[in-house]
Amino acid sequence: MAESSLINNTLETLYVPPRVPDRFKDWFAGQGWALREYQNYMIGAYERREDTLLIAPTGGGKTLAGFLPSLIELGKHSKAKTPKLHTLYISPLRALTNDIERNLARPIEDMGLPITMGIRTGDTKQYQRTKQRKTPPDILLTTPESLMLLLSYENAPDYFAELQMIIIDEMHSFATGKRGDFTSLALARLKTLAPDHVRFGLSATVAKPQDAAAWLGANGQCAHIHEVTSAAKPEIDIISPESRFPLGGHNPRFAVKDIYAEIKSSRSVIVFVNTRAQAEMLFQNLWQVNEDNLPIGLYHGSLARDIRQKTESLIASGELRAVVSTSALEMGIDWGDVDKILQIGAPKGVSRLLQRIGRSNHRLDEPSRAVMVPTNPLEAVECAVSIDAIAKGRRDGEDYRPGAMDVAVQYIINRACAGKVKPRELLREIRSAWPYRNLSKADFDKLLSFAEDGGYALKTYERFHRLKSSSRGYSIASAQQARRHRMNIGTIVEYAKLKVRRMASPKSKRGRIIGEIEERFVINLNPGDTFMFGGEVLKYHGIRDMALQASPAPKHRPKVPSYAGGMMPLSSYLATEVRRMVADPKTWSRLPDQIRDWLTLQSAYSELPKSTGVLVEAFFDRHDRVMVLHTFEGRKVNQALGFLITRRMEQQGYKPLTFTITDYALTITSLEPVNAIGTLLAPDILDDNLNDWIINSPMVKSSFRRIATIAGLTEQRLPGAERSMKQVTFSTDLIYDVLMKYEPDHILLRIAREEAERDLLDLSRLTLWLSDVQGAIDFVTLPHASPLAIPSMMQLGRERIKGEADKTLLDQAHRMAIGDNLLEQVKGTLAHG
Amino acid sequence: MAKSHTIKTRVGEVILDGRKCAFLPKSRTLLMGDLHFEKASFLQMNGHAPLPAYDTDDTLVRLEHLIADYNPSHVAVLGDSFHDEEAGARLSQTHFDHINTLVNQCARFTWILGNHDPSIPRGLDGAQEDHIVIDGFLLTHLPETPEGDEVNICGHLHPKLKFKVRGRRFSHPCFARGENRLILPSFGTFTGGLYVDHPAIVSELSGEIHYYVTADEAVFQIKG
Repeated sequence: MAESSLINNTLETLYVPPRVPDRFKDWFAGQGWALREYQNYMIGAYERREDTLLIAPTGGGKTLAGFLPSLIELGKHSKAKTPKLHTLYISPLRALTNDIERNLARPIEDMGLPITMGIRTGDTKQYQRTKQRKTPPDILLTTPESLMLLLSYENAPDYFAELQMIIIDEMHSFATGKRGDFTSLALARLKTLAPDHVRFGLSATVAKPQDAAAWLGANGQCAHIHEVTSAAKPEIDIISPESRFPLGGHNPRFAVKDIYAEIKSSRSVIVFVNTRAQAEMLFQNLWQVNEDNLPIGLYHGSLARDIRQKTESLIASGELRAVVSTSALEMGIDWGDVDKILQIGAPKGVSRLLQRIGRSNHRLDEPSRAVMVPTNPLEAVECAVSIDAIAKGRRDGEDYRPGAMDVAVQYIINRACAGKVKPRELLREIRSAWPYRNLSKADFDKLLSFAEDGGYALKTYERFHRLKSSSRGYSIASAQQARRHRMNIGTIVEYAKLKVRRMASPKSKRGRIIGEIEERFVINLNPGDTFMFGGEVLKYHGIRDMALQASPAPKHRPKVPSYAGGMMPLSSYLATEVRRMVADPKTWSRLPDQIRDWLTLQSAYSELPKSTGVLVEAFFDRHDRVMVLHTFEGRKVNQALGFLITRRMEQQGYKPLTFTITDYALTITSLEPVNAIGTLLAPDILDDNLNDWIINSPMVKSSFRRIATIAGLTEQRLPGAERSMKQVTFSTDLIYDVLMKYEPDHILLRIAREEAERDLLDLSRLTLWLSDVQGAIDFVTLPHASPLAIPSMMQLGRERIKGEADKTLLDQAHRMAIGDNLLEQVKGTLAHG
Repeated sequence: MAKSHTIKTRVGEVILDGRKCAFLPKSRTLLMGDLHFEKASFLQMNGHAPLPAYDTDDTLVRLEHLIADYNPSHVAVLGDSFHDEEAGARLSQTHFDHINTLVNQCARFTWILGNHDPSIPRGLDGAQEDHIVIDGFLLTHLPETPEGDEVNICGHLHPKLKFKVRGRRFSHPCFARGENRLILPSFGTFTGGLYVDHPAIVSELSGEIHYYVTADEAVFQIKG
């Protein structure tokens, strides 16, 4: 590795700038631009046929740098004899493809280049797809899912045969997850179909560029890395609100006037929030104080496409002063005029924060400006330590992991849809994708067998199989199976959603679709209930024609949508820094006054957590006994500890009810009070059979649901499909239970367990932590919750313990119901007597 | 926590068992609704190839245990015992034999016919009936209007109750009881449920309504 980068550096110093055609130079000059160093570099990289990872801060023509070599090469061509696909652009966001097409159309038109472009995403109309298939464009803009779909057709070898260039945009945003595994498999297939292509990855700054380069490179060869650093450091402040910081929750309402003042004093602002519910609420709150009628918009992924596009163009043209947005606006799309970013809530990671901040001032040489609005005291501490981290040049982010097995199953089916394939060939191809380089033959065989017929010991009829095999290899068993697979391609498992149809009034016959909403939320609505959507309060009428019907109800108090999401994990680096700051009053000067007061109060009422050991607080809250362990060890450790400690509590008769985790603390409720820590934190809690305990947890069941969907065991329920009397679908929980009973070693159960252990628990770190805290446990009993415990108490999303407490509660409810019966009997006797 | 719960109706007692069956002590009749044998293989046939097909096995084993526990004089399964009309053709020889062994072990075994199974696979023993009346209990698949003082016991609807106890959410299959009707939960291993506030269930229950929830093989009366 060291050697190749040395050669690379030497080349760079010696190398002669590539020849850029005059019309390109003229065009750049005409725009008032100069060709940037890295744009030049990418032209050279293509000439040298080098796979290259370009790392550059947001903005400044990174995407154009990726496309320039293709534009130059295609520009030289005279009209092609038979059109063939030359350049494939892969974007994680559909919206980005539209944007890129618009941006590329300009140079192509201005210079009169003979280049055709096409977009292929889930939104592409059927006739366009057919046309694209007959006559491929020179440049195709697509998403990983649509690319996989193209690869599932029998004509794929021909379609991609002359592919020269693949550009993967915003690589940092998805390469480390399952969607990255999925894309990596598609790239491996393309290397077989078009061995000569060059790959460019475009990425924001990442913690481990070498891993990203390995992911990008083909056939085990690391891609070259070209990194561009921004000269200007961002300027970031924490807001000093007029009113008090709330003690918990994630509601920025307390600071709405301050947020409004920030908007008013800027040219154009993006207000980033962490969840859609936050976006809706803050948008409403801002309009309530919008005395100057400033144009303020709302943007999130649940809004209908035409509404989002309208907002996008309003921002691009500078007509909006502010837009309240979720992560949906984090990527792509160039906004020239944004001069300030507001970050509402905790940033959760340094790299994510930088990405968001980078949305302002799309010029490399000027500093970006950002103001952070923490919504509870611990978030404020987190904001302060992130500002330090950025100043020190720290980066974090997700690590690359071995490729997900459920994704490999989906790929096997996809490959079999396109034609016969021999197992040996298939394994070689899968292993040539970097995340799967270490896939064992034994595991591959299990995956193939699952793909074929479920791979159960109990054999099924051959005519029901998904794949059929012959001496010439495996292929899809039927057109029906192929169709079913193609409809379910992808790795994003979402809750079923319903379209939202907005009617002008309750009596209207028609309305228009303004977006979609989780069905889980709709189930809890009764006709007449109100909720917030698309920036207004709507009244729910009912479900008709597969859509939720609602009309505006401006005077009502909304029942706030409990959208899923917003639980982004905190990087462990930030977690440690937060603990260090809380423990050391000397560092508090960097915190807002109110937060200092809150920490002082904690130290007076209870204790401050120390920089070693652990503070445990126990108290009574409403119905339940509560114990809060302030570990500051991040969600994974807290999750694992939650399982272990509640298991021990169950054994000792405390009847634990739930546990809740935040990045900083573990909160456990139980029916019986805990008065001393006893052996609850003894290192031997690790010896208890953890496996038995977690396999029965709802958490593993929900990871099984996702895996079962990606691997094609079940389908995502069609949106709006009403629970019918036919009951064709049943929950994956039932399948999970049956498999546990009859085939506990089944590959999908193993994947679910491994995934839960890897992604949700950090046992090795927990082991270290447990031995560290022995003898240093501060157990404090309090009359009620301490200042430090309040943010944890207000956290949503409880892991529920299935044990004696459930039975006790059901018994209680039973006795209540029976009591009524007895009274009814007495009344009955009196009435008859 | 009770494994079973006895209710009094105007024609006699019924024991509700947490294992999703009911027992009429006077006639020693064991009742189960909606077995849906071969549901998984039906879904496999329709494109859901990788579903595990352990449902018939599991349903049979649970049935066997109940028969052993209650030693009934009569077993009546209340319709939709087979998921579809071709289920018999997919039934393995082992399962086929297992069913016949169970049927013949009982003095009397009745297949009430349902909408999924208008007839029972050829070669299986036991009587096939549209409905039967035992000591004033009208046993049917679909809810039927009882005559006079009769009480209807039926299946078909797969009732399920969601409820909260001290803020904690529960959702379990249940028995649903109205003035003159008792609806059994579905018994089959891969059968989903319909919440009791669904109009299809609401319209079949009148008078005072009670729910008896089954969870972890125990039964709990819960206020709806």
